[in-house]
Amino acid sequence: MVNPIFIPVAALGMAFLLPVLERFGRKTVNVLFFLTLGFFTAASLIWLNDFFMANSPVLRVFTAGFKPPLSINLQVGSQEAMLLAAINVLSLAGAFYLLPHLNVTGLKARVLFLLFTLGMNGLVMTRDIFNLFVFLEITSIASYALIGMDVRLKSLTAGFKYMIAGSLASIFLLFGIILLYQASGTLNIDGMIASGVTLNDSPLIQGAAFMLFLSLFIEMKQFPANGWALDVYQAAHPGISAMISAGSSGAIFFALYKIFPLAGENWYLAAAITGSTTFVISNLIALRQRQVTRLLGYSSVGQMGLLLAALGFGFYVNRGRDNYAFILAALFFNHFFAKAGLYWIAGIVKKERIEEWSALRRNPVLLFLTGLFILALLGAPPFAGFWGKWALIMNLGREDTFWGVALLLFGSLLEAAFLLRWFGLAMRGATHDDIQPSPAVREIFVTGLFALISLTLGARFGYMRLTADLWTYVFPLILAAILFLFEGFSVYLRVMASLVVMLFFGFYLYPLEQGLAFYFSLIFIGGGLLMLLATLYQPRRSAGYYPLLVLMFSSMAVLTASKTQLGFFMNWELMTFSSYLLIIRGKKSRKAAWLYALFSLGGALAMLAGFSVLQLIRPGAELLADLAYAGEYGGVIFTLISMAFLVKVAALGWHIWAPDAYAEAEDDLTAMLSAILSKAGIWGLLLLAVFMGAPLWHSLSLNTVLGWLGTLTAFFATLYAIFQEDAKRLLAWSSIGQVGYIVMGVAMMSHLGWLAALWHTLNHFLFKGLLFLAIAGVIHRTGTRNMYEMGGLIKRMPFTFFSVMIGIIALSGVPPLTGFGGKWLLYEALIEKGWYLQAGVAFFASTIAFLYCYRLIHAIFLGIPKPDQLQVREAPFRILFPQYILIAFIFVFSLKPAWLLKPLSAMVAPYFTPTLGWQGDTAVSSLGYWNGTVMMILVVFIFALVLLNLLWMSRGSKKVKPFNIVYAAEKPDRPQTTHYAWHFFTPYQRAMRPLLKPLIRHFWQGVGEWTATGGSVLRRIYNGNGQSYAMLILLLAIILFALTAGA
Amino acid sequence: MKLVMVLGAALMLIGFWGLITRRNMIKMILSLAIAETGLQLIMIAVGYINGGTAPILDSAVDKLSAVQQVVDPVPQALVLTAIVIGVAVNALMLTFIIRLYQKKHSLNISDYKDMKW
Amino acid sequence: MDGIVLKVVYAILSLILIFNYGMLVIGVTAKIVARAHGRIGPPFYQPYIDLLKSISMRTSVHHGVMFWLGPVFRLTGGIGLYMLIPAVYGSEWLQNFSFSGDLILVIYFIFFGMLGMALGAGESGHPFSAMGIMRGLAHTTASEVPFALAIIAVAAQYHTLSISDIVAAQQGGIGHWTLMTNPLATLAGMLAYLGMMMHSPFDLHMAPQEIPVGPVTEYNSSYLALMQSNRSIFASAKLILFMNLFFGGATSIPEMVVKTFLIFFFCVFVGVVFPRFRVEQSVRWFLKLPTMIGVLAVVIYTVHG
Repeated sequence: MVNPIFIPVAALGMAFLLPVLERFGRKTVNVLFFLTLGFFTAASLIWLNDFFMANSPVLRVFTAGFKPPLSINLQVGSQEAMLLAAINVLSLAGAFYLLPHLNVTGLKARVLFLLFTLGMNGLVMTRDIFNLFVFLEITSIASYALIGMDVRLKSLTAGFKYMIAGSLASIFLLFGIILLYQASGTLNIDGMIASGVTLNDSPLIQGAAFMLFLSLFIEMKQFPANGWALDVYQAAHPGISAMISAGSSGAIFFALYKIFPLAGENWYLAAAITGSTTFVISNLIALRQRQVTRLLGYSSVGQMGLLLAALGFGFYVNRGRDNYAFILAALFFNHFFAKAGLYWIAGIVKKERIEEWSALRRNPVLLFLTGLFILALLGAPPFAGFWGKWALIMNLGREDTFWGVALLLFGSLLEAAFLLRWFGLAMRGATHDDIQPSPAVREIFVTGLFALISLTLGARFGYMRLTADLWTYVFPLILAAILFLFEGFSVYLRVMASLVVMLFFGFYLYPLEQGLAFYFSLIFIGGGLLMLLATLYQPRRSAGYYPLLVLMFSSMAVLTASKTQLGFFMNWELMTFSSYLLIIRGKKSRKAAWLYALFSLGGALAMLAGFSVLQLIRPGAELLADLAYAGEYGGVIFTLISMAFLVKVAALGWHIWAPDAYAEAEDDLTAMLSAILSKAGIWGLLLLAVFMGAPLWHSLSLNTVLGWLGTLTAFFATLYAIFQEDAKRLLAWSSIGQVGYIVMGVAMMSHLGWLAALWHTLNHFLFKGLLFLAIAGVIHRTGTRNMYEMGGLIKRMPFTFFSVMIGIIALSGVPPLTGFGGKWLLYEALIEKGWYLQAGVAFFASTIAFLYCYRLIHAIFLGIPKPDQLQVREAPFRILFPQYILIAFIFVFSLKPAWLLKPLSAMVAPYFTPTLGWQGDTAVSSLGYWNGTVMMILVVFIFALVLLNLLWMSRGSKKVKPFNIVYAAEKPDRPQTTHYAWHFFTPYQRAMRPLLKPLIRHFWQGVGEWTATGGSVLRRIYNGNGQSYAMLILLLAIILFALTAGA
Repeated sequence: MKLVMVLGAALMLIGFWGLITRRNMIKMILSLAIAETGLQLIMIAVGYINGGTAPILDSAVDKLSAVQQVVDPVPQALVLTAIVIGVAVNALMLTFIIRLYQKKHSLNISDYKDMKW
Repeated sequence: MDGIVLKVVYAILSLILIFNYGMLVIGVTAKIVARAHGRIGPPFYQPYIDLLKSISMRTSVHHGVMFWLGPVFRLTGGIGLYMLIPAVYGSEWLQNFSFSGDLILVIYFIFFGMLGMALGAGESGHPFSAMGIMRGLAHTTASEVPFALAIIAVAAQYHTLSISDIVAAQQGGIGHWTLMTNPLATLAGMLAYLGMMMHSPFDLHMAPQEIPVGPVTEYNSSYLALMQSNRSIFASAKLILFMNLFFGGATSIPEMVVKTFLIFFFCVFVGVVFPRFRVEQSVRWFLKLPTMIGVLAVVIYTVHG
């Protein structure tokens, strides 16, 4: 064990020694410098090991051999060891990163850096409150000087503002300390806490506490007293910003954590309120921010707010404080490593505005690291932030603090908005110039190291949280990691590997599931396998494509096997993020992917809120099955959780993301999104219904609402589909509409209704997968998505034409193909349920579907060909093959619906009394009957007869080209111009005009604009004037006084 | 001692007032220094015992009753430290001002608003 | 096995009956319309002449496989539709294949022929074909709405979707007909029927059948013959469907003939009196009054449970 006293000794000693040793040259100085930092790191790592592996007793060191209050004491326990390890690793890595900068600025920079590190270490270790003040000052002075070291106007200005704020904070701190000392007679923190000095109501002591915490709140950069911090983050060298944002902020936070027991009840609340307000407002203001370092500054400040809020809540709600240690640690270390990493990357890229970050695209390693850190900040699994946020929100729910839940979740969403916009620009922005970032190995090394630490920590925290079924929940991540090893090999090998791991995963899940879960995981995994096969049609695939695909499919499959809420939510998030990262690969999908991510995250956060409400009724509930005990809160919980699912199925109101995302994603990916991903939402809705039934909101049954939502989605999406010029967009709207039918089926909460939903789930997978793949083949050959730019392709691509024809027949529900089964079940169920009006609307929608079906096939395959497409070849076999597998399934289930319907009926039987009976192959409902087999035979028979008849009658028929026979003696000069495809349904559009106003889009646009406007109004308070910032600090004092004096 | 305390508090308020009203950066720093001085006065006043003596154990103090007789030494030690730190910070701030003046030839804080929002 | 053979034989007989009946109805109607216009008009057997003429044409051209298959789809749709509807209540040989599905199947099968036809005509490449189909489809979506609502109301009324059961429930005199027991549904259904028959004023289009622009101009000879055959079967099937739904069905062939003729005459009568609508006019018309009536019919049953 290393004695903690050696840390200040070594730091100070070296700080004095270095100027003396300067004559031996820069190398010697650097070696000594790094040796010192290395010593710190080694010492703290040893402590970390001792406390966590060997359970050593807490180390306490007393100066001059006295006990407190006469001496100063340092303490290193498990918490301190963690902090010290993080801080010293950061210092070492940060110094390494900053090496050229330090070399340029000279010897004093290294001395300052050592002092800075010492200050942070001291802040963590000391148990003496005045000593704390001293270390705080050491840290601050060192950082002022480090900031101003490069003598640029910006950094000097920022440093000056920082110093004014810092001086004010230190005056308050000292004032508080001396008053507390007078009251308690000790400077030792433990002594003060033990004496219960702050429990006293005397104004003097309360005033002392006020000063103390005011000062630390300022140091924690709370709104509105944080303008100076933003300037510092923006102006300082990113390497220094990393040290301040992660290191010194972290150390100060720990200091606050140490003395927080001194605070009273009203301070807990004040911390929670200020913290969450800061979190929300910083993220809100950041929406308008385009400057990368300042953007990160807002994010840092916001994260500090989050930490303070978590601390406040932890004390405020009094229960389960151990749990809060976990939460604080998770949130803290998550921010710590991710933010440092991001600042370092900002320093490497050297692009000020987020629009210029598209330069990052040329450097996959940096791009990967950026994405990783951003995901960590957003609290994506498996990063520590995810576990922390989950635990925090659950705790808040248990303790009935829903205003906190609302603020924190809203803030998180805002944070996602600007971070993902930035990432989107890096990934898919327009490239401006050719100056590429040229990272040094050193820089990449430290950044990569932090990424690794982030991941490891996340895994560690996750291991602590995921108590049951650990392997099932993390399986998707492992599979993705395995596939990552295959990057760089040929597409065939990668697909092969993906297939193998997915199959393996399927076998792993097989014994775990039965009934509905089995059915859905069959679609997710089986469908995934088929779609993976289809990806082969493109000879080249960008890096990360297959790991993400496998991650998406397997996390969806895990959703069906999840027993716990956490496991479900984790995999829901995994699915969301992996699909986001897949969508953004499309050439123009930046905005679409951004919208998708925002809506999905918004939904996921609502789900989180829903689970937290459940905690109120059933504290400690971990299982999904606990949803059954929601009782009077059922309506709220159902509404909140269903948001996530409604976003995924793109129900009306939450559908804004879908047309763009489907259209702009890569062509085969769109097939997966529509055919498979949307079913995850359906699975969620079914799960909710299984556990919660149909809860009431006041006296309104929520399944009626859901039913209408599904109906209107089906109607409006279909209506929009017919006016699209872009084939994929048309199919996208069609998907939204079709999934609307499934939602209706689920909402009916009856045997037939669910059968309809389940049947249509599979069927929609079959025909929509088929259609999207076929269209992908067409786009592959023609290079356009606009239908009016094609025509007459039936002659060039007959196999694709056949696919599309089968697809639209199945889609439109025309007998005898499978689509009709869904329609039949749906209408029987609707009429049985008494939802007559809904049935009418659904019927209207399904007739409208004919319009777009016809438009799709006519514009592309029929009519007059375009001259430049006369030599187009048939789509590649590799994409036709999966289509014909789908077609085979369609025919099998068309001929023998019983093969599917009977098992489905058995799956639904545990939940509802069956109302579907069988007479041989005839399905008999309470209203009607249907024999798909006879129907199929009948149609084939008649068709064959008529066909033979015509064959005989048209023996001498001659094949001609279009316009060989002409109408009204006119033969157009350029026949391709007569292809009737553009604005195909204009008269219909005219007729339907009143229904076509994009009200919902306008609504969401308004929400977005008003939020951003709110941000830009609020940010006016940061007017850049150091004096105004001082005033804002006094304003914070007044606010805090109002918050704390009331009680 | 009440008087010293009130005086200290008054100085602090004057300092704060100066900080938020003076636009000249040097005056702002002086205001901060005034506030710090006020605080230091308060600190000393806190530890003072009426009629007490200096906290040095010599013949003037009875060793057994020293605690009642001598002034509390801790605040004095703290004040010393605080003064040192205050001086350091003020000096650093003045350096910054010199550098800033070299860049922009202005001492007015409102002239340094390049970064905002 | 005998059962199946017998059913097939009955079905063929039933088909022959309905084919000829349809031909005659069309012929007679043409005559009546001509008289209303003050012309002499063609003989009532004119459709047969037309059919023979088409079959015996010497030139015959086609544009490709889908074009070729269009009429096949069309006629299959017509015959299939008829096969799904029990023509005469209580008659064994006119039950057709109605055991293979209920009313929902029948409604959806109507689209089978339309879709195939539209695909075939599309391959001809003539812009007028596509335009005609567009008009037809657009119009159909609107006219189906009141029809669907009427059917839902009927199903709600009788608690069944089986056509035979609906007919059975209407037996026992005119007072039991849906016309009397559920007048709103009947009204909505009959207004929709005007659109579905695609006679004037709703002959604005008609994908497969009758206007100078559109598929009919592209199809010739034997292809046209198939479509002409279909017209008679398809129209009759629809007439029988409406008869079954709203007018008590028929217990004998003469009753069927009388009822369906009157139903057909209703649309002919309207067609003679009113001029033609434009597409958007027709769509809006159907979505206003007939739909409102249909909604009302349905709401009554929703409220009463």
